[in-house]
Amino acid sequence: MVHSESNKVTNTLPVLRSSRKWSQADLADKLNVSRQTINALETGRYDPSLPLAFKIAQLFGVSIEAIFTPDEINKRSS
Amino acid sequence: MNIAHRTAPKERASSHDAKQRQAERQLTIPAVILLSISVIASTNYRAGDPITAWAIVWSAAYVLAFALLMATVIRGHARADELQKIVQLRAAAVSFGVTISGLFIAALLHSFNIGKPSAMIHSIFTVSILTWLIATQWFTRKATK
Repeated sequence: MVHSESNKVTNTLPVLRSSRKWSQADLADKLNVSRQTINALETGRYDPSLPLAFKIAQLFGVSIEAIFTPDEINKRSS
Repeated sequence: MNIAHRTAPKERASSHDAKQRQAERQLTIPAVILLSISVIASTNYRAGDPITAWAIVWSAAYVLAFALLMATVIRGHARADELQKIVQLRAAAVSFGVTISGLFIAALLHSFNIGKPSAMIHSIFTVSILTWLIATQWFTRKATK
């Protein structure tokens, strides 16, 4: 979903990607999406669908919550 | 400094992007060639001229070119990933709104015997296509930058 300001989600995708030394294009290839989509995900302009979120989590071997966190939860814990 | 956000200035496209562009080229290039031939040929035709075999051929070329362009759009949508699908559908919705509004205005003008219907239809068609192209670019930039 292309998110509105009221529904922001933070993600650790850039960090996870860099830890594997993958470019955005490499990650896009592995997930079978466009590089535009990876860019939009990383900059927080787009939230993935559930199937894509599961695919990303499976690729990095972590849970979805470890990658995507709603801003509300971030604010509460800080 | 967030290293992760830095990417190479011209990062290569993903293979998904490359496959999509190849699929689009396969249909778009012949469509544009056919459309160009049809447009050039149509400059020799005037309304009321007898229908010749050549007129039938370039008319069919127009239809074929349009069909190829529509096939490109449909295939592009089928191959698009989830973000691209959202962008395409938003652009299509905007273009549809412009088309409907244009048709409404044209019908209103026609009811008052203002303007030529054929010119209005051509204008609506052109504006709709341009709106669709501009909306696609705008929504893509909004989603990715």
